[in-house]
Amino acid sequence: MSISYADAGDLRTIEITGRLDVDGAGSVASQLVELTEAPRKGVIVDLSSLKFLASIGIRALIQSAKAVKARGGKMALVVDTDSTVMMSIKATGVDQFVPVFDSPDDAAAAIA
Amino acid sequence: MVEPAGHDNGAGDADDSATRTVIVRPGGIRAAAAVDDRVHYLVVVEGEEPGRRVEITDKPTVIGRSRPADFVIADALVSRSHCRVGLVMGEVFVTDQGSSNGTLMEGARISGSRFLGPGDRFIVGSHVFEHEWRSRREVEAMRAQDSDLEKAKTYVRSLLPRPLVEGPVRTDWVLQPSANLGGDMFGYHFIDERTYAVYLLDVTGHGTDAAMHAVSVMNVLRQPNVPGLDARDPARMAAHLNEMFQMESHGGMLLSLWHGVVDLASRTVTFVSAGHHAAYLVAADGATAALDVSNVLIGMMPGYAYRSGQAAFSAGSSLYLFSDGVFEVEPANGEEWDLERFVQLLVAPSATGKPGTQGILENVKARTGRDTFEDDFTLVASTFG
Repeated sequence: MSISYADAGDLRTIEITGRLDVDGAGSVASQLVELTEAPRKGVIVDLSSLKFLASIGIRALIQSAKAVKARGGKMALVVDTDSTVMMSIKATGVDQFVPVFDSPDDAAAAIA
Repeated sequence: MVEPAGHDNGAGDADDSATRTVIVRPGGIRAAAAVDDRVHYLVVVEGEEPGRRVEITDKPTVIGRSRPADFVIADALVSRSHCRVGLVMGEVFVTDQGSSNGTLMEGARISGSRFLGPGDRFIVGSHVFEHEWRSRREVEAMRAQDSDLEKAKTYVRSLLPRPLVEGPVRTDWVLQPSANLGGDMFGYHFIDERTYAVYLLDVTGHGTDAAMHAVSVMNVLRQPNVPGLDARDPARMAAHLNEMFQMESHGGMLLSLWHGVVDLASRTVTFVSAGHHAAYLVAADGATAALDVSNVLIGMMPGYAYRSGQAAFSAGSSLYLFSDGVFEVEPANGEEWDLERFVQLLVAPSATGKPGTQGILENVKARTGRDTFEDDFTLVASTFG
């Protein structure tokens, strides 16, 4: 499991790969919240290479999205349509709170 | 704060559009304990009692199958006096005592004594041992935490209802908590003689805080004596809980809930799934129906209008509520495991000898090659006459 980010102008793209499960998810989740705190207008969280998303990861996504919204920014997720991660996103209703796209370009266009 | 690593400060790169990448891994940030406080421990990583730990001293600890070994492990592959671990000039060494099956390090049998650095492991029979070098204070804190977790597990268990073995509804359940205690809870009761309520909730995260949160929410579900709240309306109940338990005022915690109210006379169930996957109705002939309405987690969006669904069922049908811990299992045997396979098991459990939910748990263990799971495994089955 790893988390990385890249900045381009006012857009930050954060990518999480591997399995966001119980072991170690706490530290990745808190790093995600920290990385979304940077004063960028747009934040994309790319989960297309994530194999598994545990509930603690869901919580971190919601906390991040709330923080980004609170400072007037926009956040979007990139998730593979047929993945188990998409199943978790839909079951928990995260997609009703944060827009979800299947490519980083679509996500960037939507929050630009 | 996470800082970009490997960033060259000298190259005039103040340009805001520069791309910076950092790779961070879990466990990378850990406060270093004061060196002089650290003690050498021998800890069981795999085997009968994972987490069992003894201090390594100048007086070697003998590992063996029976007394007078200091560290007795019930393992047929272990010799009576198998190997010993002790300090020599402040360093840890493991010495094979001429055991039948050997002491293995890095896949090979050791002969005589071998140096054991911090984090090094060796294998004795089906047990894996590790040399841990850490502060006494850390170990004490861990022990206290383990004992608190055990108490929390016992308390959560004491709140769970007894199985219903007779009457119009028979209900049977199994809850196997994960090692670090997940936030699963469930309950059921009769609102009146023809109305039966059943619910299952799963708080995000693990540990005593998640369990405490689950207990608070459960207490509302168990005694819904709120003016203006109809206990027969699960969508209203979800909305009520959502107003009470917003994440900002509850330690950032969220929860998923499946709550059904069953009218036994008309054989219908009205339900809400709030950020929770479907519950399943399985008819006597094996036909299944997923009971699911798209709603968000409780605690996520204030004022969210939860919607309910309704389904009819035939006599002899069973309603299965479960947490994601039953299908989000990573098999240890290379097999595939997911929600669909779990639901197939509800319809056609393979023979294990044990009936009911316990039998289904045994089936999942057999299919995934696992005895313990990383999340709570909770399954509640109600069968209607």
